[in-house]
Amino acid sequence: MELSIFGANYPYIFSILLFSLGWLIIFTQANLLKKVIGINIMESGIFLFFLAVGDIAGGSPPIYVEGAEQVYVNPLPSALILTGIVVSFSITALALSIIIKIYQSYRTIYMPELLRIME
Amino acid sequence: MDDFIIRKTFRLVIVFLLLYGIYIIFHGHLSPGGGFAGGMIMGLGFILYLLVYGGNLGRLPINITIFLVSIGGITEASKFLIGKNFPAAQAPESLFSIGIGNLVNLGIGLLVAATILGIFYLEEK
Amino acid sequence: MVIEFLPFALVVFTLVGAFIMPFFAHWFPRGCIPLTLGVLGLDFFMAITLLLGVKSRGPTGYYIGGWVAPWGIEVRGDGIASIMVLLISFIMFWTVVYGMGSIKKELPGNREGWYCALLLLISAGMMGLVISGDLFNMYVMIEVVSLSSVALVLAKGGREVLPAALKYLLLATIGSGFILFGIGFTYILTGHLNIGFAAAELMVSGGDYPYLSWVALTFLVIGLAVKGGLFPLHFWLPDAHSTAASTSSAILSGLVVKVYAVVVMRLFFQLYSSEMLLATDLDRILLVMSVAAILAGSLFALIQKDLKRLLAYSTVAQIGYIFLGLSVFSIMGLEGAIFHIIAHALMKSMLFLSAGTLISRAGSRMIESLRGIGRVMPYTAGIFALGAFSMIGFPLLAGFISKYLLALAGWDSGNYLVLPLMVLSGLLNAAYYLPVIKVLFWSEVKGPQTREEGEISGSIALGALAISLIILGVIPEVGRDFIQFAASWLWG
Repeated sequence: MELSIFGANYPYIFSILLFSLGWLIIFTQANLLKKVIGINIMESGIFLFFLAVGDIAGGSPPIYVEGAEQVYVNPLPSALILTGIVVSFSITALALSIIIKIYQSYRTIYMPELLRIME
Repeated sequence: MDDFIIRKTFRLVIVFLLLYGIYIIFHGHLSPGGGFAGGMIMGLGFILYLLVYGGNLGRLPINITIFLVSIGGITEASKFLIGKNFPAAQAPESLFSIGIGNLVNLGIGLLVAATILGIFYLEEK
Repeated sequence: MVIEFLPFALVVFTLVGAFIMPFFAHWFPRGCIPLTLGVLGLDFFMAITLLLGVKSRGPTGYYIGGWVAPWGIEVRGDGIASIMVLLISFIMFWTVVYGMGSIKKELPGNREGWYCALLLLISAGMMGLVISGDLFNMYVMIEVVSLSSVALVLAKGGREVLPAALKYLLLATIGSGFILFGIGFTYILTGHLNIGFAAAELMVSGGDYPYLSWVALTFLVIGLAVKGGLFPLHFWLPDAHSTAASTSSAILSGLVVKVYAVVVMRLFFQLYSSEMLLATDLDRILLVMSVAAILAGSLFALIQKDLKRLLAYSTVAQIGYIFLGLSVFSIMGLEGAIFHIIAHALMKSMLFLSAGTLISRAGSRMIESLRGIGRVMPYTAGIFALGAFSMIGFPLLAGFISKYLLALAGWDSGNYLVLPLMVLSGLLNAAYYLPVIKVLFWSEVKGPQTREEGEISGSIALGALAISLIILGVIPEVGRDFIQFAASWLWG
């Protein structure tokens, strides 16, 4: 296990780091809004992972230019990420709407107090 | 709002906003953007309209929302029915490289814009 | 020729119906439910045609738009897909028939039209999920189903729905994150997203990367287990399924958690080969989790005082059955799992819908307040008892057959403890259903003594579900034929 493996694969390491960080935030933070931020961080980690999958060293953006013969970066992960971003945006919108309604009904968005009120 | 400056500025800005949104939608295959991003910008334009002319609109926004959701959704669902050999795919790098796909993209954009408008309107009420 | 276009046409037709619904909801509210019933009825007939066609002609593949794989999206109409599409359209149809009476009462305001749009959307999503032969298409449909099911929970309004729905949304999103990560890993490993092509690639070069394929499969299975409610990742299930409206609960418990098990089926049997799967020991882990689910779900259900929470914990246990059938890794186990998917969908929706009628009569969800309701609503409570007996595993009803198939599968594959487990879980089921039936029938009635059933549409729906349950139990060959065809195709 040489150290150069870590150097060459740094996008993957950071994406796993972001994913775990987002996941931890969802579970440990008590404020509901911070949980939603955790969702976004987790999804950012996944998108970084997909980008790293498709990247070819020295490639260019995958838009066809007449004439020149060049190495294009794999365009498929970009399409997957677009869909993922839209899904993540929808989830965030729905979660924020629910939190607004929770605040209107329970007057708190702090989780332990919410559990106490519900008892 | 009844502020004179805001209303005048809004009338200038809204044209460019909506045009920019349509530009991003139609150039989705040539530069970053496409249906979703362009739809969001158009939706923001609609929200700006709601913010400025807020109270005295009645049921117009919700009607527009429903209409656009339906039309946009049906147009977007029809993208599955386009075959491989559908004509009108022209030269690369032109505006109509993807033929009928432009209509589908527009449908997606209208759907997203209507969704953002709907969410804002229903939350604000 | 028409057959291969059918599954895809089904999904697009339902989706277009869902998009037309807001028009109706806003300007023509009385036409919403008839439109929903029409779309779902047509779906049911198309599903029957598809099933018969696939049975006689073998599985069909259809490439959307004519773009062949691996560049296009493939839609596979094989045995399991046709069975699931038939099940989905059948149960959604009768649930909407039940809803004709109850939706107006349970949902506040005039949300009827939007609720119908949501029902069509979730049907289209579930049907799209089971027929898809491409991993990323499957992910998109999984997202459609997740978000629609959160909205189904939220539709009821009121205070207590909100934290349950938020918990469901957060945990479902974590599950989606894991699934997307797993799909990314599979893409790195094989370079294809199409299940057939990826499977071929894995057989050729999967042996070179054992750890990576193990990690990919683990991420996918964990994500699907979180969304499907397998113990110990089930924590969102009791709250979400108990606070939702009764039609929503029936759909959520009966159909939504099952489609994720179908995805696991596709992963286990179509994507990965048997040697790779057994080398990862994932079937052992799933076996332990399923057994824990069966026992823990039943034990938690014993102490519940709220009827819908009891039914929700019972769902947790039954999902354990389905994953047990998958993890003993034999063709009989697969048959047992598919049969239990069908049987439990029928039983649970019957239980939730009849419980909804009883609860709306009594005004509260607590079992104590349902004392003696069986005497004033004998038909509805009788159907509830029928569903409960089927869950316990009474012979002549469908629940017995699935327990029998699973026990046989366990015995054949060497896990001799499955048989006593089935007997034990049957006894545990009896331990928490029989007291409810006793309270329903053999107690004094509180409240009005008039003998009055619920809405007529609800009774018709419950009757249809009960008749199909009895048919499936008495003449299991009707189902066994199709299930064996589906299972043998998946296994091969």
